[in-house]
Amino acid sequence: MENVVEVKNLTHYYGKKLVYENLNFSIKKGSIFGLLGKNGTGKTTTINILNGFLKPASGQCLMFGEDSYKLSPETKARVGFLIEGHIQYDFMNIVQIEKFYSQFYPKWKKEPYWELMSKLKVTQGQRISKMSCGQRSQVALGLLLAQDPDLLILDDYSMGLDAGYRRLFIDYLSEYAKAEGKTIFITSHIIQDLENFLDDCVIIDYNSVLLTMPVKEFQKNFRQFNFTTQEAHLNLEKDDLVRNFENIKGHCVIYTFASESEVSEYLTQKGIAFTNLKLESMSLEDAFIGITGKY
Amino acid sequence: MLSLELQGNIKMFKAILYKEWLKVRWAYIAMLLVSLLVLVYIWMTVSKQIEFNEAKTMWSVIIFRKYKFFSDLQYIPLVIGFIVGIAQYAPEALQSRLKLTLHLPVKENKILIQMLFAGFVLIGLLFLFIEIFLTIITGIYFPSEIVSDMLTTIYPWILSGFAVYFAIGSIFVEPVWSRRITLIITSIALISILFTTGDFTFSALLLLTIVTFIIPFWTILTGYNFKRGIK
Repeated sequence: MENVVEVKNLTHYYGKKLVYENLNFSIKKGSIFGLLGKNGTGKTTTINILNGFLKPASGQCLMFGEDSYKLSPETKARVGFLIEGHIQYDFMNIVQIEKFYSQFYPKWKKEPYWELMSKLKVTQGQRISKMSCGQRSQVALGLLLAQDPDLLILDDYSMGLDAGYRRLFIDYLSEYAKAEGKTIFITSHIIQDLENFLDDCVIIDYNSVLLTMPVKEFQKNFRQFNFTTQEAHLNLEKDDLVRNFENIKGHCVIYTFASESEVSEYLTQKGIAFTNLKLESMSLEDAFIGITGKY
Repeated sequence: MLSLELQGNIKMFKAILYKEWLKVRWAYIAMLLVSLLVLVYIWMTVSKQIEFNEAKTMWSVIIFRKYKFFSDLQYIPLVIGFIVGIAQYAPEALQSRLKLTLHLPVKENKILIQMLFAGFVLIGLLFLFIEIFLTIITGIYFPSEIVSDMLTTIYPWILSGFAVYFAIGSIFVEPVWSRRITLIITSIALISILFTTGDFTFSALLLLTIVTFIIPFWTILTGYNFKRGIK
């Protein structure tokens, strides 16, 4: 299947501080791809590189086959971009902003924009700067839908939104994604909303890429095992089997891609006396926290 | 028949002009009112002076003592360029809103120049209004030589308005503070030359005009820095 975005060996630094090294992923046409990571791990940096607002230290980003740093106007017209915090021209009102953007996009469809605006309790003359964060997010979303882009890039769409607005956002995005060939690239720090929404994901941590895989595969194969031990200060270092480990007063948790028998054998080999080894079910958010850690 | 590409370019420039107008309109209207007040004040002052002194006396004072009856206008173009520039570029610089503009399906350099051109057209119209108003006032009371002298004298002041406006554009687009400070110092030095006393020769005015209209190209460089994400 055709790749809309290809990120190859991307490495970036801020000064001497490494953001990440050798980030690789590709986004298939028609898929919903999530870039997940805690705050400060480089999600917005990646989005900025993808949109050509940052030149990476090394590596390459291709969008619709073009170097993302030198996107042609035609390619930019195919990409809808939501800036973190739903930033828009907030000195405009909803009529002015629709009139402005419609001049730039050949496929402009004003119906979805006005459908969304009709749900907002705002007057047509009200400046966007005078709206609530949730209302501003709907204006930004409406403009993106009216642009009818082939690729939607959403940088932390959930920032500042309550549960209702976040749900509304995802509902509209799901409808948009149903159209043939539409691709979504999304970052968020609220993982629970993205469960059953994402197809593929890459999870990044400080300075490193933790995994890149389909979300269903991640949820199916990434496991949480609980056990108890008398060793109150037991600590297991991360390795091929242990992706993360927690111990709270002898109540231990291992996060791993291994099976129960492999974990049992591993603990036995390490000479750890354990009881009650048990597989726990996890939501996507649990799995995300499991692999990235709580801190 | 205009080509489709040209039609598209005109449509997009009109949209940019619309956006820039929405940002600056209140500042622009305020500047128009301030200009009008100063011009009316100058008119009333000249009219009173002519009433109390003979016109010939006034002429000789203007010609031999280099009396500038319109000197209250000296810093008005500078203030106009400054205020309109801030009103236009501060909202773009805040919260990196410039990313929205640079993501529009137009080449980045082109859109930055279009933004500057939109502001240039707006403040240019205001300066034209000032010049026409002042030419009429001067023409009512004085011969054409004095009108011509007046226009030559206010020309560097008008240039200062354009210079400060162009400089503000590039300073706000520039992402690095140290470079911003360098641009501010360079701009102040350049604009100070425009306010030096004494008459400028034609070639000096030509050189100052060229230098002033080179400033918009700084924005291309600062836009390049913004796009590279230099911090």
